[in-house]
Amino acid sequence: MSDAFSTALGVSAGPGAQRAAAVLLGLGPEVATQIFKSLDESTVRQIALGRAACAKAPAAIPAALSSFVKDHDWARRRGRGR
Amino acid sequence: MGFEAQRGDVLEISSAAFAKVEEADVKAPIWERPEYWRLGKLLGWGALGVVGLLFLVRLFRRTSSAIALLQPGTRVGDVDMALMNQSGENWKLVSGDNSAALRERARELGKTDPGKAAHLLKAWVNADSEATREGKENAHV
Repeated sequence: MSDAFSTALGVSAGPGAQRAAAVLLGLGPEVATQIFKSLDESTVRQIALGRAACAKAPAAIPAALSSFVKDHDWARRRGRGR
Repeated sequence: MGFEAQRGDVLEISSAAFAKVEEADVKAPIWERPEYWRLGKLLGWGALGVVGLLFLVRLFRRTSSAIALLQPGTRVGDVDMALMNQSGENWKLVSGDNSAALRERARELGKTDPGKAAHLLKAWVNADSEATREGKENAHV
């Protein structure tokens, strides 16, 4: 349903937006609100689309959090390496 | 005209029981009786109507929530709140003890540096856009 809706609007949520939505859902309101403040409107809209797809598969949240932690650690290591 | 005994008229009175007409006790089966057909049709259409109504209500609720999130002009804050209101419930659905540590680690990272976390999420979303753009370009070539 939401996919059809997205298609009708001419927009769709890619895997990245779905993963980002899953991370924000997993982090909880307190932390997610802080992160939202640093996101631009276009990104928030993409993530909102991703959330609609993510609602169908809530089991994706732990996997998305795992990616988030890994990428975060990787970025930190990379930052230190420079 | 009239009764005249001298003429030999005789009046005879007798009683007779009414004959009871036995009704035929043979009834048609239910499926051949029109009143049951009508009732069956009515119930069938009613059930179909209820199912259709439930489907439409469900469809409307899904669509309206999606529209509320995505309509141009919707404030980012509203989208934010809509997302946040559901986050706790979703997590309860999927989290187990082994996920708790992962979640805590992710929360810690998000709390410590929300800007960096936002940058990471933005990079994921941008990767989608770039993939879509490349796909379109390849399609044109």
